[in-house]
Amino acid sequence: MHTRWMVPTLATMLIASACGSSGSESSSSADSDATIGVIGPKTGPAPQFYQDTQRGIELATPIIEERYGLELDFVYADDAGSPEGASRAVQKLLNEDDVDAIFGPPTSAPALQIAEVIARSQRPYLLVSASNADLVPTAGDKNFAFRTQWAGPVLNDVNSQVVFSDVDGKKPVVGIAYAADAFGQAAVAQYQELGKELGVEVVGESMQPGATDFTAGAKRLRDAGVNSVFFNFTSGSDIATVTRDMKVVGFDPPRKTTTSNVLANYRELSKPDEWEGLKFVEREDLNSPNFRKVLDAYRSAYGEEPQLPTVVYNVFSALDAYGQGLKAGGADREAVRDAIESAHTVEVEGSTYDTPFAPGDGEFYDADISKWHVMGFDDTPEGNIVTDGTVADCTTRGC
Amino acid sequence: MEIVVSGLAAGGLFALVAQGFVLTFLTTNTLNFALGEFMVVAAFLALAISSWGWLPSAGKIVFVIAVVGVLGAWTYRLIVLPFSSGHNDTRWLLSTVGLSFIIINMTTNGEGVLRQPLNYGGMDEVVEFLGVRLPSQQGLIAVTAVLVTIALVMVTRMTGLGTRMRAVSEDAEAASLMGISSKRIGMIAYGLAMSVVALAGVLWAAEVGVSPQLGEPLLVGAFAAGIIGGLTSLWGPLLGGGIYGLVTAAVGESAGVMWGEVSGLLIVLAVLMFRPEGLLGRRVDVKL
Amino acid sequence: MNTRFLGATKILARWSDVSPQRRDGLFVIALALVCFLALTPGLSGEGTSIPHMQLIGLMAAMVVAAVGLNLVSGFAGLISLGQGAMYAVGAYVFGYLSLKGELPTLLAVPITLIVCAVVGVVVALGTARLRGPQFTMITLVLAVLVHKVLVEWPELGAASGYPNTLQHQTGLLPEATVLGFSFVPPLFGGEFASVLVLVLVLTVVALVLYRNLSLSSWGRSLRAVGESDMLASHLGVHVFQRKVAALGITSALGGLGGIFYALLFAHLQPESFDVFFSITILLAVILGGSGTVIGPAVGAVIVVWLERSEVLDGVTELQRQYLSDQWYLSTPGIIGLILIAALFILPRGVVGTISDFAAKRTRRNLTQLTAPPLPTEPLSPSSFLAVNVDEAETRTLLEVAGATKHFGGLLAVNRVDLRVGPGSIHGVIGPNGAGKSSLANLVSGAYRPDSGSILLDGVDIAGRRPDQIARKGLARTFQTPQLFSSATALENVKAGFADTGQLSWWRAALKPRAQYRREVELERMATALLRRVGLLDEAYVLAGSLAYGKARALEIARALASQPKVLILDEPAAGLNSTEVMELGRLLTDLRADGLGMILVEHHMDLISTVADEVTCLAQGTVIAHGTASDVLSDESVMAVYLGAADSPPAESLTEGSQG
Repeated sequence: MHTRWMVPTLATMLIASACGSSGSESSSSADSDATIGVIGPKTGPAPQFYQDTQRGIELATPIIEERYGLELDFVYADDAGSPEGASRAVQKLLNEDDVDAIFGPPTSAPALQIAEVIARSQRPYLLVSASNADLVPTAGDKNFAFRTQWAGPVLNDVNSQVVFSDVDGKKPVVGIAYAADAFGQAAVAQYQELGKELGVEVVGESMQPGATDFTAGAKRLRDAGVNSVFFNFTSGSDIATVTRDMKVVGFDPPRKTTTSNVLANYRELSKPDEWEGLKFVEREDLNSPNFRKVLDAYRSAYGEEPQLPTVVYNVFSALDAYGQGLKAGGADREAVRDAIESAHTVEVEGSTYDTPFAPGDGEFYDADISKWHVMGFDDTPEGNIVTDGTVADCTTRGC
Repeated sequence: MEIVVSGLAAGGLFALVAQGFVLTFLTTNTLNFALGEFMVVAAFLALAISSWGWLPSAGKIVFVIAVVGVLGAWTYRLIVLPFSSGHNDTRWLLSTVGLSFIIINMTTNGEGVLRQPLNYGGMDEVVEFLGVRLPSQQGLIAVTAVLVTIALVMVTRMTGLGTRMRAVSEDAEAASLMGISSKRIGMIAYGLAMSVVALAGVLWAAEVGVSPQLGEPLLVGAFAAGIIGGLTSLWGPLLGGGIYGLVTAAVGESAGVMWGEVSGLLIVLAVLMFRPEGLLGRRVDVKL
Repeated sequence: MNTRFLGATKILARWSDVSPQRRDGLFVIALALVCFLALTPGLSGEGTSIPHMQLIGLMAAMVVAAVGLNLVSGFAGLISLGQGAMYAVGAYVFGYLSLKGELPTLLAVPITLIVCAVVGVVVALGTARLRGPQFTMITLVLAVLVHKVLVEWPELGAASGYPNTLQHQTGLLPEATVLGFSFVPPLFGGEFASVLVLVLVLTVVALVLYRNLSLSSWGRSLRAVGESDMLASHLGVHVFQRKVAALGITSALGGLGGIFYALLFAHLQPESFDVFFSITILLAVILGGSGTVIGPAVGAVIVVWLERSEVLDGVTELQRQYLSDQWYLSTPGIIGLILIAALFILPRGVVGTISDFAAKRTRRNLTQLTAPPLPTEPLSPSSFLAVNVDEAETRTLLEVAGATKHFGGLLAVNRVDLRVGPGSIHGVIGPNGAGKSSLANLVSGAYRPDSGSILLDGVDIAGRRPDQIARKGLARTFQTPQLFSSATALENVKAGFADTGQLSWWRAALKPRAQYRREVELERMATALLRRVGLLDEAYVLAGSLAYGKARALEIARALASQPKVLILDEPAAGLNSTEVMELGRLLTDLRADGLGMILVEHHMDLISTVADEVTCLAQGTVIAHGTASDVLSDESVMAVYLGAADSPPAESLTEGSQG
């Protein structure tokens, strides 16, 4: 009975789709200066990374094209947030689309899956979000990977100076609440190392991403006497769970620090009394006039705030670096790479960064604490971002 | 003491959701694997009607429960019944799994994965119970689980409908010979089960936010509560939820969250191996 | 269209002229051809062919995982949601052995397979006594557990993947090497991805072994288990052991799929092996045809193609264009929809539906078209019965003494005595609920007696398992015929041979020449048995479409296949018309002449009085009369229990016009 019409319908759908589909979206043009591939989770558990990367590209490209007199094409490939998806996406970009450069997956698992493949493909590899240290080789042969986001170890180097600084004149008891994923596990390993070096007690509590109960972990942190706690999660909603359950068990340490991942999906789910005193450490000052220019452009183009403002900013810096390289190197990808590596200055809406890269160093940001900022939220329900000062200030006057 | 209270309170949520399993298994010998996703549907529906100012919060919750209950009844009719033709037929497992994929996928594509707050149905305070601090919403859910169980037991013992449900659960064939349509009872059971689950979904979403992933992390715990207590006993979920909540909390406190969850799962395995009908379930021998 | 179909039919008919050995050989050749064709687009080694090679490799991995799962879920009816976990275990164990253990591939592969098999055996040992949904839930719990462990266990890289440069100084597993030759994975352009050859060779080997298993008596035993544990046990299968063995093999095949994954991608992330993945393997089995032989392989190819190709992306785009930009289904949702649709439209899967369709069109099923002609030489009927007729008088084949069984408070069988000698029919009668079937169940091993002894040809069988009793020479039929309804009559009879319980899996899989000879012998014997019960013309008819009387005859033929000394028949005449009853009676007397001892539980008094040499009457579990048929049937107490009060008008012997 159903059989009769279901089968031809399904068949028609399949045929029509096979004819009508193109797996990737591309703005194709035969005489562009470069085709750049972008891999990201268009579908999957963290599409905000894809969206803000794409929007950052849309906002930055006209600026870069005008600045250097170039024409850039972009090919987007969906990795669905999975390692196999990234594997398939990168093969397609490298072999079918023959891209000249690649923006890599924004989250660790897919990025790690294809790290080696990308390394051997010898094309400039731009990372604006993934922070795993393995992704940018630090020594040896010509490095093609350039990261305009902070690397995990660099971030932890800086924020540990805040987290490990004295509380009330004494060494703190440090706690770290972290996600049971690559980002979190790398952080806790680094923190425990540091703890050993500095002779500070470090207590780690993990939580599954997406879990909704952290009371046991919060209690253990409380009972261990933690007075300086660090939250290391990819998702703001996980940080919301943690701060809520800390309030429930009555764990309120004098110092609470986290990363800029708290900017997405945290304040909607929490209350001012949960983020009171919460600070996050970020390289850029989100309240600086130059950063605001980027945010304003985003707002007027898309009518909403970016979920991940730092990713949007990082796209600008990455494209500026690449633009310089392309201008100098042209069709020779290795020459492009060389030019990027030896760029004198990278500029984003007025902010300048001198010699960001060097041979063997593909990291844009270093751990100079005078350049990093400490920020928090005010006590209004919207939780507007307020800037406390640089990390250097913080450590000198006490955080 | 802290462990006991917080463990039991956490178990309350699992118990409430597990009733969704027990109600259906008792009467139809089937389960709805898409249980967690019905919670998601309820939560999103609650979110969608949150702007209906003319309806008070309690009314909105009733509306959501009613709608999802009807959806549950039709799920039985269309997705479960065709695939549960005999005691050997377990295709309903697969069809409900397929349904869960569809719902998660559609809500993820439609609303995105980011959690959205639900501004009613929840209490924000922290209460103290026997010297232990608890989110009051968690306490509310635990109390609800107990009340719902009592209500269900009363319905099955004292009403005509309840008698019919019990008849079908004992022997569907005999019941049908006596004029009780097991199809209709099945639909009612599923409707009731999904209503309970919808209530759990709204209450839980009020606490943690609405997202397509609302139900998934709870599924394992709800399953565990149902199996430990016994899928053929209405009191089972309370016992099972309590045990699972206690064990995961206790082990979680001492050895870490992962070991807590693993130990909970090990208890489920142990029950399945040594007392498969659950602690309160009744053993059924198949006559040759 | 009809002519094209006739053409296909002709090909199939010619297939039947080919000997089984040649057929198996042709199967291997066909597989090799398919594999070669699959590899051709990638022979140049160009980068653009990498996605294709990855696709082929993933298909091969899914194929072996799916056919493995079919053994347990399709044949034996135990739905497992844990095959993805075994795949993951295989991938990680192989990766670990290759990298950390530095074992050569030739060692790493078999060790991994053994580890996976052991895991499967351990799981089976804990779960084999469970019924369907509980088994499934345990496998689900295990899948969740394995996934959690993989995400958290630092030794295996945890969320950073295995291997990762931080811990292991490399991001990729070493290339597989066999005897110095390195197999290149499809990751970098410029070189032919030779690891695909290794993968496909192993796939072909696995498929050949799997097919041998499925078509053998061992495979038949799994189908019996899938039908019912009780039935399988009565056919001589040690059900527990069989389930354990099956789950071990299933797990090994799942692990093999994981090995392929590791060979293809050289890097493992735990996110790849979640519960969704386990479910797609099950979907592959169902979509292809759960319980068919080649169906799951077809299903696996389809599922991987759907997931990896851009077809589903196209479907998603269509939805967004024409239906709604916000509410649409993407790949996981469409797969869920396909799962439900497959359950509705293709309940027997793609392969099952095609084969049913062919059967309807040609009014013959595929087996009829592809079966070799039946052997025609007559087999002496008594050559396969175990009783030597000369010794007939002095032996007692079956001696039941004081058998007792309680069910809770109910006394079902109360100190019953019964004797059956060679070449005799012992009738057992009594009103409903008298304990006749319970007695039969006690003797056949379905129940354990609370007390009393049961001796089969001098051997104590009381309390033994049905398969042990079957091996000692007892067979039975059931009140409602328990046949494989979607198998032919011939297949059903073959299930009755001792091989079903006793053929080991490695002999079945490797299929040495002696196995081919044995299969021919089984075919001859089964044909002779069918002729014996008058079903020769129905040899290739599906058992589910047989008339009731023929179904019962088939059950008897199956029971005889095990060469029993004693045969228990549980109400064989129920539902038969008078002609059929007469034929049944003739068959029973023939069997008696061959020396078979039989217990005939019956209500049909005419039949009893015609064939029974002695009759025992039970009421409420107790023997109330025993003697010749005429004595018992005219006994007053017997009439009373059948007809009611003692002062009812004295009826003539019960044989007149009663239960006909």
